[in-house]
Amino acid sequence: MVPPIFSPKPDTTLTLDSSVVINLDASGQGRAVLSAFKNPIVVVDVVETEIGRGNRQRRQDKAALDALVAAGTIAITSLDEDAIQIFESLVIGPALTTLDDGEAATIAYAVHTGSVAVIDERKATTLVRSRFPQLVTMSTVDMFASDSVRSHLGYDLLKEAVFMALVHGRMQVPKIYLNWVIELIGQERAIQCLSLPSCLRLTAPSDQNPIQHLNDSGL
Amino acid sequence: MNIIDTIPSSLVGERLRLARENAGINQAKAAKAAGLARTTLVAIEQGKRRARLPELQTLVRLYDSSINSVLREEAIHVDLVPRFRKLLDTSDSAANSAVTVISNLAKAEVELENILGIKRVRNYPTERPLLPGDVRVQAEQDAAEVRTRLGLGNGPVKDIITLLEMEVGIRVYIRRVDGNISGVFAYDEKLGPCILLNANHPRERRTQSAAHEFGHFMATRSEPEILETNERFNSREERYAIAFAKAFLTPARAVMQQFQEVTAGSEKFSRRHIIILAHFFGVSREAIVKRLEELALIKSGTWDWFETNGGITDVQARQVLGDLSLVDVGKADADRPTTLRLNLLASEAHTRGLLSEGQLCRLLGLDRVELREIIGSLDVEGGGTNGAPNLFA
Repeated sequence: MVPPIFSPKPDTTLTLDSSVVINLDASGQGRAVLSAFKNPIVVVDVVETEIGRGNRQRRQDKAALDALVAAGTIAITSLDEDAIQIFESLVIGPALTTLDDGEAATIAYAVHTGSVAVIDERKATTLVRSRFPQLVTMSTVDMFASDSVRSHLGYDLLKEAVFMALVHGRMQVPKIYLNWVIELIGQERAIQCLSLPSCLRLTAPSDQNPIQHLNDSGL
Repeated sequence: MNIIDTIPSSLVGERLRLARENAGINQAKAAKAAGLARTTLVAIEQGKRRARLPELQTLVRLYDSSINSVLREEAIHVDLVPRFRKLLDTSDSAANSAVTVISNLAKAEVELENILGIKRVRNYPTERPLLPGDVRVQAEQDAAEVRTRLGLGNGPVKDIITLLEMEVGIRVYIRRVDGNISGVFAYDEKLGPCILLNANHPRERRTQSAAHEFGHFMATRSEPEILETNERFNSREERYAIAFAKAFLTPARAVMQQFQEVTAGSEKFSRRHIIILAHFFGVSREAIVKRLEELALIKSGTWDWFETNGGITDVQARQVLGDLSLVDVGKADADRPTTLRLNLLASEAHTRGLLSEGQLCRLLGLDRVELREIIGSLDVEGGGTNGAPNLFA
């Protein structure tokens, strides 16, 4: 069963972070997933540059992003004066209260424009909760689990896409979705997904729910 | 007022200069690419003109860095490259890249230690500057004193890497480096002493290089050093380091004693003796034979004789040593994107929510998936260590 999920209003912009673009590319269904949303979707130019760095490390995420931009699925945007002030407050200071430029730009843009920040980073979401409690965030798995993506992709394609994102993107799964993800991809394939907690990957299904052993700080 | 304006412009300028130098870009090129007059960039780097945020963004992008990496409070801003300048030929890309590797690894490790509140042991032996006279005599004496201080007595140094890291507090990295580089040594107040060893070389050779660099640390620690395989050792500093390495790994009295035991009852000095002695001291077969020659325990020219008469092969060594042959774990560790220790520190910083994925990727020079692989591979407890009690005493 899918946990209760958040669905953004159709006119709300979704601002994607690098972590999400990488997961969607790894899923092999990035375009289909994003097309399932009727919302405008943007990536901040700072994030675009960051994804381009991966090319030097033999990743192809930048080419995938370029294709999505060319197809009009994603628009590249930039921070204006006011957003830059928020950005500045997120990148300058002690390590504990700052983020790298891409993550900070995603949040700054979303805060400034009232859009939804789609970000998989645990530290970033914790920072957002304390500093910008009004900001709405989503994760990649929120996207996969949404009604629109499930009906757009269909069961088999969704199952494959989530599995590929786990294997090739090492996608992080929020605790609330662990059961849903394992049920979707199957226990046998879950063993191959090293970003899932090992107590779930390596334990045969039983009456006892291993998720109960995870504490609340898990994603 | 913007936050950037609260940071002294001299500090911002200094960090931008280090980021530029770390990227290997000169001021003229950087200014042109950023659309600034060279004089403007010079003024920014000297702290005479405050950098505006858009200018900062352009410059850090050009330097393949980020504003957070440059202006994060805990970030370590050290550039070892200029200190090697008189040793480095700009066309020697292997040496340049080796210096960059050791510099980046050490900076990342120190920043992670600082963020996690780890204090590294600084149990350095006192520096022994070179004195007039024969440096080899000084090296023998210094090596003997350090061995005593480290509690080695007359025994072999079984694992010099762990010894230097744990007992002395030197950061030792074993990474694959191109070309003829055997070792790199650098000392910095913030980083402490650091040694890079070439993982492409056999374990025994790395041991020799580590002891050589330790010699530099003992006598001339403020001078950076690059050890190359085809090097001619003309300077007093180099002759000291060679003699120190020999005396540290194969002390004269210990070699004499072991030679007596191993060759007892034998009529001829053979390959078997060499293999056992080299294994005992953890050095190469050539190194032990030359040491035996030097100590007049065997005839001068013995190594050359073996070389021209079929040499001594690894197969023969395995035949003699059997299960005693050592597995080279250093090579396996060098094939990881970063070191095992850095992986542990990074994983801990991420689990505790101290650094984000983006910050860690930038710090370690990894892409997101590589970092997630590292963090995932260290999760052997379940979801982190959740559910387990705190087992620290």
